Amino acid sequence: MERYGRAISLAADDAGCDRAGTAIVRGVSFALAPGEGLQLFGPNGSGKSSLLSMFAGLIRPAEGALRWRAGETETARPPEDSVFFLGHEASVKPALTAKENLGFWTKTYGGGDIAAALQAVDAMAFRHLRARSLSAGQRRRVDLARAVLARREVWLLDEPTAAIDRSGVIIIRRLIDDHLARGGIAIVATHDDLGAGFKRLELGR
Amino acid sequence: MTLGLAILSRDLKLAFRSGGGWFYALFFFAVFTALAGIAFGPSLSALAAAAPAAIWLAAALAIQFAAADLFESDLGDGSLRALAAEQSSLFPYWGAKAGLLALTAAAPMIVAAPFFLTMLGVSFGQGLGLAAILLLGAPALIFISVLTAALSAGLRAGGLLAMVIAAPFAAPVLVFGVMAAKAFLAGAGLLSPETLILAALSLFMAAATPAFAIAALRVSLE
Repeated sequence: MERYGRAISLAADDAGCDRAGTAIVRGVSFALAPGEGLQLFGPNGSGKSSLLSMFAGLIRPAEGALRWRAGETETARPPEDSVFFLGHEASVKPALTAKENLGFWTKTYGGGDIAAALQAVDAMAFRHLRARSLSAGQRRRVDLARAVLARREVWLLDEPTAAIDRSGVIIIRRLIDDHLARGGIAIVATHDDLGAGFKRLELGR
Repeated sequence: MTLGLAILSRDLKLAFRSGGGWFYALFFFAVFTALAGIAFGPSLSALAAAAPAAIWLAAALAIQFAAADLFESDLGDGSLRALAAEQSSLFPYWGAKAGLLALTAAAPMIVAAPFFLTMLGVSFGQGLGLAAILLLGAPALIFISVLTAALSAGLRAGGLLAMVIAAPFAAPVLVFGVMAAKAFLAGAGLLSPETLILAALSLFMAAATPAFAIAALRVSLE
C-alpha cells in the first residue's frame, strides 16, 4: 500500500476548549504518532464535536496547547492541506447528483478518482441520483467518499457511522484501517467500538 | 483560483437547479421599478427626475435580498466547516460568493435596467448610460452584502439584521450612485467626478470587506 508523503503527528498538552464562553472540555492530553488513531467517547454534549473543531484549527484552545509535527516543523495548527474533516451533517447538496457532489469536492482537493471513491463506499448504484432522493445513510456514504478523494494525512471524523447500515460500518472501518496503514492519523468521535488499535479518550459531561 | 471557480460553478449550478435562484433579484428589480413608476404618477418629467433614485434603491435592495441566504446552505450541511478545516484560506470561498452575487443578482439587473428605465421615462440610450453607472457601483453593493450576510450567518432572521447593518455602508454608494446618474442625465457624460467616486467606493469595499467577512464566517463556525 502506498504511504502518505508526509508523516504527521499530533500531541495535546492539557488542552481544553470552550463553547459560548463556558468551559466544556479540560485537560486533554495524548500523543498520536503516524499510523495511530484516537477514539473520542462521551455522552451527547460532552464536547466531542468542539474538540474535533479545535483539532481542525477552527477553535483556538482555551488552555493548553496542540503541537502538530510534520517532519521537522512544529505548529499549533494542522499543516497545510493535511486535514480531511467529516462533520456530523452530510456535506452533500440535495440538488446535485452523488457524482456531481463528489466532482465538486475533487476540485477542492485538486484531483482524485471519483469512480474509485464511489466504489470504495459502495455508492456506484446511485451515483446518478440527485442527493435529494437519497436516504440519510446513502448521503452519508457519498460524504464519506470524500475521504478517498482527499488523500490527506489527518482524518477528523464526527460520528461517521451515524445513519449508516452494518455493511457501511464495515466499509468505514476498512477505510480507517487503510488510512492508518498508510501512515495517517485519525481522530474519530463515535459510540461504536473501533477495535483494539485505537487509543481512547473518554470525555465527561 | 481553481478552488474559487469550483465553488462558483457549483453554486451557479445550484442556483439554476433550485427554482431559478438567479431570477429573484431581477424579478424584484422589475417589480420595484414598475411600482415606482405607478407611485410617482403619470408625469413623464417627474418620472425621469425620480428614475435615478428608483433604480439605485431597487438595485441595493435586490442585491441585499439576494444575499440573505448566501451562506445558509453551506453552514447548515457542514460544507463550510469542512472547507474551513481543509483549506488553508477562505478567500477563494469569499470570492466565489461575491462572484455568485455578481452573476446571479447584479448582472441580470444591469442588463435589464435600460429596458425597465423606459417605463420611468428615460430613453433607451440614456438608460444604457445609467446601466453603465450601475455597473460601476454594483461591486460596492455586492461586497457590502457579502459582508453583512457573513456577519449575520447562522442567526435567526439574519437577513433582517443584515439589512440593518448594511444600511450605513450602502448609504454613500446610494448617494454617489444617484448623483452620478443625475449628472449623466444632465449631460455631464460618463466620467463625472461622481462616477469616479462611485468607482472608488467599489474599489474601497473590495479592499476593506473581505478580511472582515472571512473573520465573521470563522466566528460563525466556533
